[in-house]
Amino acid sequence: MPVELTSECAVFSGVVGIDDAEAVLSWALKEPLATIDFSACTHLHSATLQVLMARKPGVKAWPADGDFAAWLKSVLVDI
Amino acid sequence: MNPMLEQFLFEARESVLSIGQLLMRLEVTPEDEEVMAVLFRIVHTLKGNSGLFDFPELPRVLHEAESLMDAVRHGEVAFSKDLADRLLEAMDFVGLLCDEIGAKGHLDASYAVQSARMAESLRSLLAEVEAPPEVAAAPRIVLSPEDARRLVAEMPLSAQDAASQGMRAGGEFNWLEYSPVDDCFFQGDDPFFQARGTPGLLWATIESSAPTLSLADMDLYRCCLVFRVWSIASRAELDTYYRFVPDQISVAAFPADCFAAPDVEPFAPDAEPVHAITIDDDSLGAGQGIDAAAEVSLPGPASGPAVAAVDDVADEGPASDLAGVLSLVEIQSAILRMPLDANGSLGRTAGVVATLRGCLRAIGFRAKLPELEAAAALAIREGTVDALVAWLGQAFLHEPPGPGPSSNKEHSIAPSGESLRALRPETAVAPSRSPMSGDSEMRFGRRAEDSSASSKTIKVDQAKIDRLMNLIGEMVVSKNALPYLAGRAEHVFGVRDLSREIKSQYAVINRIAEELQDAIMQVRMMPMSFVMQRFPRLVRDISRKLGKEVHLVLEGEDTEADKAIVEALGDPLVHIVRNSLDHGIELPDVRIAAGKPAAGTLQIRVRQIADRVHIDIRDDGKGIDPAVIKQKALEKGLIDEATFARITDQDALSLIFAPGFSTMDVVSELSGRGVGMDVVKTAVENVHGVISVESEKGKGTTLRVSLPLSLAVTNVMIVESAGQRFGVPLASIVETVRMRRSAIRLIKQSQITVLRNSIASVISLNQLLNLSEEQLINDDDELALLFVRHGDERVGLIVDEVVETSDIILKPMAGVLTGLAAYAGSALMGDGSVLMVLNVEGLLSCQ
Repeated sequence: MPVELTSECAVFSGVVGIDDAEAVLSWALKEPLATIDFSACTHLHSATLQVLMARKPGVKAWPADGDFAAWLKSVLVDI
Repeated sequence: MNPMLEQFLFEARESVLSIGQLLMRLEVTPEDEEVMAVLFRIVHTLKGNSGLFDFPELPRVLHEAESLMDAVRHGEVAFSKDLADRLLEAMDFVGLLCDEIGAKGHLDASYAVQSARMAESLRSLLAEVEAPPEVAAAPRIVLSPEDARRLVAEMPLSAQDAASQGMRAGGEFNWLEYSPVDDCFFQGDDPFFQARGTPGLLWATIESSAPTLSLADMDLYRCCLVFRVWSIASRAELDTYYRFVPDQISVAAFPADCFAAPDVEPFAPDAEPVHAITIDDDSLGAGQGIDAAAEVSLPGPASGPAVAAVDDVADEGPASDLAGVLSLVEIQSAILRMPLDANGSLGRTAGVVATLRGCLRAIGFRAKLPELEAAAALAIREGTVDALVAWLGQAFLHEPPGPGPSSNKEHSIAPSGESLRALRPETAVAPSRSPMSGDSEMRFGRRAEDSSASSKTIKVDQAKIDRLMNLIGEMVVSKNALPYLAGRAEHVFGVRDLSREIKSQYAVINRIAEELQDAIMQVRMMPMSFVMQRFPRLVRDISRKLGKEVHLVLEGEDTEADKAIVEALGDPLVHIVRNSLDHGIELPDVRIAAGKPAAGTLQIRVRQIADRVHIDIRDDGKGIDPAVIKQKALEKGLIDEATFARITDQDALSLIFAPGFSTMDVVSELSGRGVGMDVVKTAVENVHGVISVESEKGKGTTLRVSLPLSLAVTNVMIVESAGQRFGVPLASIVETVRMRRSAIRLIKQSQITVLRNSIASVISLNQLLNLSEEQLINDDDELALLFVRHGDERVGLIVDEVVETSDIILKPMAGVLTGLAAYAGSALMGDGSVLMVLNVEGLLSCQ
């Protein structure tokens, strides 16, 4: 399971596909304050990405992959 | 095979066929845009449908074909015969793939290579015209120096350095906006993944094209992202990488001077919220008109905080900068008309004024600035926004802002928000067609096509028709039992009245059954165009290959015949046509030397005469020289010296149908034709047809084929031999005679007789069928003989009795019996007996 959703933190790992988008959306609605741990995540499907963009969650850890992290930072960090 | 694939294959074959026809029509009238549009649509649909299945070879080829046709359609590539050749070849390949899928359910790996080669060859045609591989390339947009500088400034410094170094080294630096379509997730796309893999990626941002990204009412599966990518990859690389979504990207090259220190004031704090509002308000969908936006590049040396915001608006999507400005103005007007909150009013007014100032600068209308300032000062002083609202209305109502595009006067802005809103769509839609609009037209076209589904034609599986045929056959047979029943009622049971009633009922049933049979036959009837429609293509291809000019004349294509016959005729006719072109029609210079027009004429004429279809294939070529045919036949041992001496020219011509004649390797040097004509003859005879040839040296050759209209009902002569009844197809019978036994002589082992001054061999049917009984003789010491056609000779079959002729429905032998060459099949007679129908050719050949 690439996505572990708890009330405090969502841990994404590997490739988060479109199948997980729905779960992430309901989690995002339920837990407005929870943060996300991307450290083991290598890719997010666009559908999940746009959920996170709407939610702008707090990020506990950015991905190890620097380029990927830059992409995420550009959309998830409020400018 | 699943029904969907089956349906697809069926449609694909039809599409391939009509594509071929349209291509040939285009050859004649290359200017016909309507044909081109239809052609493009068919290819497009075919490509789309083929993508549904796991056969990547199909869409690969079709995609290139589509791109090529698109280029032709837009006049980027000229339509030529070579191009048509290539496209036709590609369509043949698609047809081949379809056949292969139909036969095996999958495609061999070798086709992948072939399809790649085919796609490559099509692409090369495009590349010849446009040096870079611009396969349906994204629209080219031009960045104004201001835009370029601003965009560069958006990147972090490290990326800017990399870009400027790359450009100094002669590399390209491109800006790309990728706006995936809403439903791209359903097509299996992951735009983020696509964007991440962009070659030469330096920096990128993701934005939302949706009005607001709110979690609560978000449609998860509707993509609302827009990717903006700064890349040092070349334009060609980007086009190639995004080749599957060329309509969703726009690419612009940065000008060389974009790294010069930007002459931009620091961002005013109030510009940012404006930015956010405008983006939120932009419901028109980003990317649609980005190219148009760039075409209408900003006039004058506009710069400043709000200009940047306005620029953003233009970039994000509305049709033009003007539309962006109008939307901004509309928002400002709405803000001003909001209920006042004492504390915030001053700041809000200032924000609005700053934005409006930016707007005016952006559209190059600096003259109005003092007025705005005055109105703003008044508004702030008086603590109401009335002055500002009034100015807004007046300024945009009376003075068209700036030298913007098209009909600004009509777009004058009334102060009310409603009228402004009403204006927006117009201004937004006004710019030139974006690639998307073309696509939506396409969809309209397809929908129009769909609606024709309720046409009056239905496609029925042949097996169902055949079943109907079988049923009506049984019906005819059981109907024929009624007269027997009537006879029994009268003679066996002695009830005459009942017999008469049965007979009158029989008459009714008979009439209905006959009509029914006729109706079903009609269903099976197919126009000859089914086989003839491929001739234009065939003639075109062969004549081009041979360097000959041929004018094809088709007549009577709508003549109908039974499906089995029409289909059986396909290959033989192709063969004949090919022969005519190859051996009949001469090269243009030879023809001119012989005093004929340079272009030869090949005429295929189909007529229905009584219950037969006659097909004449006539060319005006060099004809067949009987002397040469005779000589070759003699050399090959097909005729002996004696025959050689006395054979007539007409008979000599018929030698081209002799088996073995075609196997001569020198045949192509012959003046006439001959390649595989025996095969043609066999095929024609298999459907009970007759073929003959006429030729005049130097003038041309005519091949005549005559066929029955239908195979369903066979006319047979019923004969008796050794106490059994047999059917002999009437088509093979020449005549029936009674002969005295003494008229038949025995020469060595074979019997012969003289019929109308010519010698014919005679053989007894019992002997042929290996029955031990002797043939019966009638009271006058006469034998019943049936003269039948066997090759070019007549052979007399001795039977016991010739009974009658009858229409029967012939059922071919089934199972292990199919190997029996002596029988053509069986038929059920009205009295319930089974009639074996002889195959005369087979019977005589196996003696």
